[in-house]
Amino acid sequence: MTGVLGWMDRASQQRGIRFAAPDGQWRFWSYARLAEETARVAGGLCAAGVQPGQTVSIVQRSGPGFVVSLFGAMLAGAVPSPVAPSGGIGGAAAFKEHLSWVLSVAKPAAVLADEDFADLVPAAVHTVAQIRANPVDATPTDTALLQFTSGSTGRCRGVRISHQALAANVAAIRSWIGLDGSGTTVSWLPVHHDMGLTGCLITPMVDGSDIWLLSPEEFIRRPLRYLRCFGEEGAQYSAMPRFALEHVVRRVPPQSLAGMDFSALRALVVGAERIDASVLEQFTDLLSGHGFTAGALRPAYGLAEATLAVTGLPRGETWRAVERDGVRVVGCGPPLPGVSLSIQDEQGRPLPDGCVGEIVVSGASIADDYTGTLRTGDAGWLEAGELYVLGRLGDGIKVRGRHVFAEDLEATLVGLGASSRHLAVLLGNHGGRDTAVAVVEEKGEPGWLHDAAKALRVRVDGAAVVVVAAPPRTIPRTTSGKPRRRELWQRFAAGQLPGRVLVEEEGRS
Amino acid sequence: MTIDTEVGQRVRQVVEALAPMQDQSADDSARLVEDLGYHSLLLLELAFTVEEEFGLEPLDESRAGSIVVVGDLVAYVEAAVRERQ
Repeated sequence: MTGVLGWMDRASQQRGIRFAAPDGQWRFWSYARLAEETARVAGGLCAAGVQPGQTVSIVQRSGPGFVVSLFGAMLAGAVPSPVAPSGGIGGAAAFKEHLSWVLSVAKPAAVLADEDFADLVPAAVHTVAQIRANPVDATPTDTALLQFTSGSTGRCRGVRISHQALAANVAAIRSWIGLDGSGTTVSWLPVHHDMGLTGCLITPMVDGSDIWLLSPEEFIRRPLRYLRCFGEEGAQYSAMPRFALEHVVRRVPPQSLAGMDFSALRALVVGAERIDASVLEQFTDLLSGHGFTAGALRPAYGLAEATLAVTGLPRGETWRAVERDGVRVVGCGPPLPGVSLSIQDEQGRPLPDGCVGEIVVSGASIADDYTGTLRTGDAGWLEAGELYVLGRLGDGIKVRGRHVFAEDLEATLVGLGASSRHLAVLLGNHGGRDTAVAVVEEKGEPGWLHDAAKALRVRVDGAAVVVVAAPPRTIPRTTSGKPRRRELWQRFAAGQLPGRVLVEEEGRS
Repeated sequence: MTIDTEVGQRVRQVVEALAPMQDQSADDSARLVEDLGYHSLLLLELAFTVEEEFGLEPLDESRAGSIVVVGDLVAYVEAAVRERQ
């Protein structure tokens, strides 16, 4: 077995995954046991008629069933496609909508679901217990994963990752972090998206090293249980987005860390959304009396379209921030091995160091749909070989790790009474701040404008909000009538948008 | 004041304290996501805070899942508190 399935040949009885149980215990599954079950799931999928190259959607929570379904589908020559479940207050309706959208895009030949989700899937649904059968030899396929970006409800996009791209990114991450098969990775991230899936599950499995896995709910409820994995058990590696660092700072009382020692923690990767220098400092302050050093924080940049990781701060270096337009921007390190990066202008011309432009990535880990070169839609600049990321260019931003797209916000405003033919919403980074701009071709101030500003504020949580009343035909459109947002964004950014500013609110930086 | 209205007041206080949109009042018809700005992780935190505050068992997925407005949450907690007594 080659590539990311190679772990099955070397599967150890001693090493494996510890899954956090709700009773505070950990359930250990050795890699040998996981490999055996993976082969049975693959056999079952083949017996159920799943053909090489067909998609298998996985609608399961983080757990052994998810792991054997993921690799079982790959082993059967199929393409696994994880779907993130959601629960809790108000979760049911949102999840139903999300699931039906994802299944309509993925068109799976079979669905492997947790028992309580099975009713929500129209056809060809099995639990892991039902699908198990004797292993068979299957034909491998080129595509390893159909990965959905963590978009807002109903709007996420599917990205196809080849086995070659996945193996290349896993190898790059292992070398960057310095995984040597002996450490322990701890993760509470959803296993359904790039950071939790490729970064904290597939990569350490290929490395053959131990993993401790908690659910996102468990981390939010008891962040101390996650911290104990390092402070008491001596784990070395983990990754999470900025809001999780904020959650730890907010919810963990300093006295509860008494007796813990974080000196074994070698790499805590921080990525997936804009990194705030002050949050890195607060997190370090909380733990620094317990052996934690700022050098363990490894800011990184990546995206699902590039499998996962693009750049990251190297071992032995301490993160730094550069001030730009009054905002401290944290450096995300140089490109990982095998990845190349440039900053380009609108016409695709490379820009010199220090100039802000679009981040363009190429290399072996780019998703199939981009033929080797990915224009990310993210703005940033390079300085001394290190990438500084500002945010999205014109059509989207990230709020708490989720993409918010301009189209969605336009739909919201139309729901409040705006005319879609006289409206464009722009999202991007302006002067170092995530910013939402609503351009409306209106003479007066119609009644829905007040509600519109309020709705925008809620949806972009913390970003700056600007509403501009512009003269007719200000919004450039494609022949099919879609607003040309990038062009409009450029005019806004250059201060050349005509009309009156009706609302202007500064967000958080 | 009856027990029920006391519970309702305390639920509304918790909802307001955690809500990102601090200028909105948590009356019964306010929607948690659209009006008060709750996102998925904060909804989890709200659930845990309510459980702690009222000493409840973890929220029942099938019932909690259909909560949309503050009034739904108040009704849920009032029922859970009554069941416990």
